[in-house]
Amino acid sequence: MTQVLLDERLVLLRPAVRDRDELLAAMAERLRTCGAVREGFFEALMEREKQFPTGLPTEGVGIAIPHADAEFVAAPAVCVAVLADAVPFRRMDNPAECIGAHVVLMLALNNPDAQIRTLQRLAQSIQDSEFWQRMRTASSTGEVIGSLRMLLPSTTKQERGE
Amino acid sequence: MPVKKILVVCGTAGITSTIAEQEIQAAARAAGIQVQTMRCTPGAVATRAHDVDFIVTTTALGSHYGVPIINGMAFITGIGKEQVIEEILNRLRDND
Repeated sequence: MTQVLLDERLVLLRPAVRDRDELLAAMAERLRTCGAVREGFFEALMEREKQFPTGLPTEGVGIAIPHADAEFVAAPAVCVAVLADAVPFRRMDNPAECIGAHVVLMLALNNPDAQIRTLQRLAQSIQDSEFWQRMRTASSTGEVIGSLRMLLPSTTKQERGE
Repeated sequence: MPVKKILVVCGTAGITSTIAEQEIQAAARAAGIQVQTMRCTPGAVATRAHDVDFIVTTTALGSHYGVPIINGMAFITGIGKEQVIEEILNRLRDND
């Protein structure tokens, strides 16, 4: 079974980026550096975002969950960006509309059935607007990853095959 | 009573449809209803819709598949989730 990497190197806290594409490129590069994704991940993710956008119509803190096909994932991981200013993403269930994302969770997952516990925790985190509101005022990447690990254990017993 | 089938649809990687599928299975189990769920991408809906009772989707989907389509975004955002679960359970209980 698989372990989902959640690492301080995969946290971008209020990064200085000009726009959405620059942000997504920076996040994909972090995943690549950590060995989580293969060559072509970023291009596949951008193409997917065009076809099936990932902005979520949440209340409070805006969240987007960009991802790509499993074939580009080498080792499952989640990259997190907490933004100073919202970045527009088209809505997953209605691409004609945009949401302003304050939090971007870039998912490098390759086996949803094996990573179901992580996915459920992820959905819980998406539904916890107050959590992300607190993260927006975090002073370090360590603070973000520490809080996130409590919410989203990087390894669960089930995923370790216990 | 035959077990009803739900097609759970999302963009590509099966991430959001897996979350929705788990929630549907858990809600049906809690209500004592048997259900068969399967996942697919929008491109495969046309060939699979005829075999299911209805569709739950997290992504935008046309409405020309001849079966009801329920927006499953609530399973990801949590907003209006109880209502969507109720709608799904009602459709599962409906024997007409």
